[in-house]
Amino acid sequence: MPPATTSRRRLLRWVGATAAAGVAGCTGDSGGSNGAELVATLAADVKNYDPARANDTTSRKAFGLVYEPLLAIDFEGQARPALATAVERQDELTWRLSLREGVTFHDGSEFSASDVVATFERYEGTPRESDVYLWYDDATIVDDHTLDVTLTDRYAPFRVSLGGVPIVPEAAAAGDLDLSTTPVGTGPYAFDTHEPDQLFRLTRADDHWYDGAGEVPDEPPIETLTFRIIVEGPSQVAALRAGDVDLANNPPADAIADLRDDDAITVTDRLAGGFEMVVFPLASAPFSNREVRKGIARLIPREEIISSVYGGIGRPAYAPISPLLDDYSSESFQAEMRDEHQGYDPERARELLASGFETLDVSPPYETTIVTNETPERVRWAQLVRDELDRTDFFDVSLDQFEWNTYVSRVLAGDSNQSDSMMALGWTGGWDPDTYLRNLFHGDQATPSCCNAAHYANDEVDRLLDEALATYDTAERRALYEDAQRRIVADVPAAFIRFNRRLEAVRSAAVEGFRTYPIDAGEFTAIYAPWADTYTATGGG
Amino acid sequence: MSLRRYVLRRVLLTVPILIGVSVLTFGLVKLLPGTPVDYVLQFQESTPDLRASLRAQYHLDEPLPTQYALWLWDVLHLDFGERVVSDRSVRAAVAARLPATLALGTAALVVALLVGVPAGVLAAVNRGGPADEISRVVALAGIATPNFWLGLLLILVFGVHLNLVPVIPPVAPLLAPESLAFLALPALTLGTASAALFTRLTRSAVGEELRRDYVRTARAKGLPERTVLVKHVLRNSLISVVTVAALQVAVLLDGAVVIERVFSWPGLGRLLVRAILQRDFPVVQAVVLLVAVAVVVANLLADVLYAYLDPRIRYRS
Repeated sequence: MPPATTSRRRLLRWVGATAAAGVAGCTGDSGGSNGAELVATLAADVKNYDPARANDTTSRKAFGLVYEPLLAIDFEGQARPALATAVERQDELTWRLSLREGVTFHDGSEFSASDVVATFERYEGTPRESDVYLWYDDATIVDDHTLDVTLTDRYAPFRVSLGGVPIVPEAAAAGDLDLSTTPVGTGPYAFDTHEPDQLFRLTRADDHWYDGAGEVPDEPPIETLTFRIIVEGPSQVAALRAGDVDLANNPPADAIADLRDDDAITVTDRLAGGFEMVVFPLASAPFSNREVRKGIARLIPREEIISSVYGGIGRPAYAPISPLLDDYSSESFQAEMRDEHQGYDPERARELLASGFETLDVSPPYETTIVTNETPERVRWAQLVRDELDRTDFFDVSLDQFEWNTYVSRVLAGDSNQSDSMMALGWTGGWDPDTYLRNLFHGDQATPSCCNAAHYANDEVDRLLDEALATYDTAERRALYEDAQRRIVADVPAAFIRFNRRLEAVRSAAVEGFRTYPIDAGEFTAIYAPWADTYTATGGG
Repeated sequence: MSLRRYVLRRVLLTVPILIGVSVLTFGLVKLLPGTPVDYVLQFQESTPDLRASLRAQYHLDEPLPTQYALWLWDVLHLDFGERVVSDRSVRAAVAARLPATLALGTAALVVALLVGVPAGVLAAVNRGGPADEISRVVALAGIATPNFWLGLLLILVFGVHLNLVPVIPPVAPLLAPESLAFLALPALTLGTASAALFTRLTRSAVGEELRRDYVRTARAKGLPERTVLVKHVLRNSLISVVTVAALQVAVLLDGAVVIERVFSWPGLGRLLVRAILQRDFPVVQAVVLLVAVAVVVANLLADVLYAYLDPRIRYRS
């Protein structure tokens, strides 16, 4: 039963007959033959409906079912046809895209090749420009449903990148349609309402292109998808347990044990594409010394962090590519990096620190700070790292907490490599190994260009990353990335800490078949995803 | 002094207070690190032209007194500028949230008075008896309990375990029965500390009045005890309660910041917290100023009401 009805019943008990009229009226509103509603939580408000401008994960979560890409990336990271039925390489730099026919946008306009070109080109000069202009050079429309895209260079993750570009109507590029007030896509759900700080609601789109085949019904079984904005973690959990919401997105780790004990709730967890790390300012002594950095990396109590901060959820990280990409990140490779370079070993750490400080003009204990933002888990692991460092005679560490924007500006400032602070950072990557390495460790990406806060520069690493990006053969790419990772881990511009796992909790009786998409910001896309043979229905709760 | 002269005098006295409040509001926000330009640009690199035009838009090139004067001029015209995080107006954002906070504050005050005044009277009439003791302990607990904790406790008991009320606000207009029913828990949470205060205050005021000569005279004349209590004692005792009720406006607005987050209630408190985290300076200024003005005005009203109820006040001042 839809939760709105449940609340109404309870409300009736509470206010008695006075509410009866209102209840009757509301029930009539949400009727219909297939009128199920799914209510999920979001921990922050939706800021922007325009995919070319939305930089926050919450907005992208919320509109993930409104827009569709040309290719969708399934649960295993494979590209599957969505708005394109085929994407084939013509020559070194040209790809031919065949588009699905008979697709309409939510405003009734027909989807064609000109929408795709307009979508690509409107990224120029926007906050998400690099989503497209890292590879896009030009496009030629062959006919209404075929186009050729020319790349600036050979680009291996092209198909995966198409999965990250939601297609919008040409009218949006021409300025006739304002996506920031009216999101219009081709997805299975259309925008309905946004009440700031309260809810974001989608309703089933009438004319979605999927006609049904195999297991997936021809239209989403859920008619209304409501995201309730609940900032406080305990309030989210209470709303789920009370039945006011059906699904809590990323509930706090310390509530998980209780939720798992609740028979009415099912908790799922998933490997997410991201990791936590400490980044060193390489231009500043003592962090300029590799042995010192190695010593610090060997003092990070990864297992303890995972058990005490994250309630046992997640796994230790010793190299940067997430295990989500099993083609590129094996357990044996992680174990090798652990044993050779970054595994917890206080005794070895002290030897390394002693040897490093000997060659430096810095007398211990060196006073330094770890910069973090306000994320409670990040602050807590930074405290554990501080305690380990303080236990040696080499450091006297304090913590500097900043509000998110100030923190970002501080760690991504052009001179962050010259500061005397270590930086506690998190990084989210996607389905391609390049997303875990380039922005953080390529010489061209030093801040303020992007996110290489250490200003790590190694010509051989840069060459390997560039070559891997232009290599289409997976085995060759794997070898190149393994080589690059070996060099990065040995140089220790950063100490890796934890590969993230994220959680979802659902009311078992109310939600059937919900499957979380692994990449952050895309969690809800699988609520109706014919390209992945997945959909969600509501049960009897 | 006539009541009219007294009111005029009090109104004139609030002008320098309001000016002081506006200077503080403007100045404190200036002390926050960073400028609106950094936040509008999200610390991205930008052209000098763009930065210059944004600086001009926020009057950042002007000397501080000029910036203040320009800001105050706009504020006097109820123009609080545009939000840093979007190009929507601050006034619209504040206006959209104000009714929810007013509803919560009013409901909390009603709870506080409905609980506090009768409990205080009961305690005063039964001074030293069990009712007095119980009300004392409950009032102390009410004052000492943190809002955040009490809110979560009430949610757990009434929302999760007893399943009597929804935990998150219903999707309905503010004055719909569902919304008003939902307000019960947040109003109870927010009103608890004030209710405790009213209990103690009413108890001592009523106790004091009961010992006065006119009460003895009224009783000697044979007036029923109920009439003595309601018509004479309560009326005189309520003067101090009214004053404190007005002063509670500040407490309720403060509390709303926490309670609105716990109950996901879309009022000014949530807007303010988010604006601070986002460094949305114009919104912070507008909300802080609004709250400060509300407190000043509430004080003014309390004074006027006090003078109306007890003419000795205006003659003394």
